[in-house]
Amino acid sequence: MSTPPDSRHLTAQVLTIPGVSEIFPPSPPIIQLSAAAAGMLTRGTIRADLVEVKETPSGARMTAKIAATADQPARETARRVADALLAATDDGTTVTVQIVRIR
Amino acid sequence: MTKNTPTMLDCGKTIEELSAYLAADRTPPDVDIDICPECRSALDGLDQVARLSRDLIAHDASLLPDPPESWITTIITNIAQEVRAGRSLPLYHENPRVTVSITEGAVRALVRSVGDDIDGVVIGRCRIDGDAETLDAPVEVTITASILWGSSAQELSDVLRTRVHAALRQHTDLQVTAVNIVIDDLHGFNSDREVTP
Repeated sequence: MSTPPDSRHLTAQVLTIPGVSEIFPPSPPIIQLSAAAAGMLTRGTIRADLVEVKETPSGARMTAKIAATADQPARETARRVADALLAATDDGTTVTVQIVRIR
Repeated sequence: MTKNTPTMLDCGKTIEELSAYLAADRTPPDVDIDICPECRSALDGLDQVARLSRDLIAHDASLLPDPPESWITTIITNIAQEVRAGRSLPLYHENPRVTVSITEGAVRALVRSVGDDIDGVVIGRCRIDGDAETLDAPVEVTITASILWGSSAQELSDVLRTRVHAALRQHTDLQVTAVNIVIDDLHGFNSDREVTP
C-alpha cells in the first residue's frame, strides 16, 4: 500500500498556487479546537493540516476549502488546486476543492 | 437568541460578537473567527457598512441626518443571512475523480463587494434563483439595492448589472441568464428637509 499524501506538505503546496490566498479547515469545529489546542493556529501564519486527507477503502480522499483572490478567475484557481492535488496522489484518490471566499 | 436568529451565523457566532471584534480592531486575535470563512465575509460586510455610515455622515453633515438605525440594521441582518455557505455551486473539471465548487455564500459576498465598490450603491440582498447546483442550468440573479439620493437609478442599475454579470462570468461557471436589479431604497435623504425643485 502506498504512503498516504502528507497533509502539511499539500497545504504548503496549495498556498503557493497563484490565486490562492488562504486555506480554511474542512471541518471547522473539530479542527479548530484541536489545532488551536496544539498551538498551530496563529494569525498571519501558514496553518498546518488544512488539506484534509482521509483514507477510505476505495482510496484516499482529499478536501481543500480555499479563499481565492479576486484578481484571477476563482474557477480557474479551483481547477489549478485540484490538478495540483491530483498530481500529488495515486490513482483512485478523489479530490474535492471548494471556494469559500473571493477577495 | 436561537440558532435561527437572523444575526447568528451557522458557525454560532453572532453579528454582535463580530461587530465588537471589528470595533476592537480584531484584537486580541480570535482564532474561531479568523479561520471561519463565513465570519470573515461577515466582517468584510460590516466593515463596509461602518465605512458607508462614516461617509454619509461626513458627506454633508449640515444637511443630511445620520443614516437611520433601521436601515443599517436591515443591511446587517442581510449580511448575516447571506454569508452562510448555502448551496454548493459546481465548477467544471474534466476528471471524474475531482469535485470543484464555490459556495453560494462566497458568490453572494462577491456580488455585495462588487456592488459596494460602486459609488452611491449599497447592496441589500442577493438571490440566486434556479437549479444552481446543476452545471449549465440557467439561473437568474436578483439584487436589491439602495442608491444615493439624487443619483440616476437607471445609470447605477446598468453599471451594477454589468459589473455583477462580469464578476459572475469571471469567477463562476453559472449560466446566468439575467441579473435583475431592484432599487428599493434611497439613502442620504433628509426627509425633514424641504425639497425645492
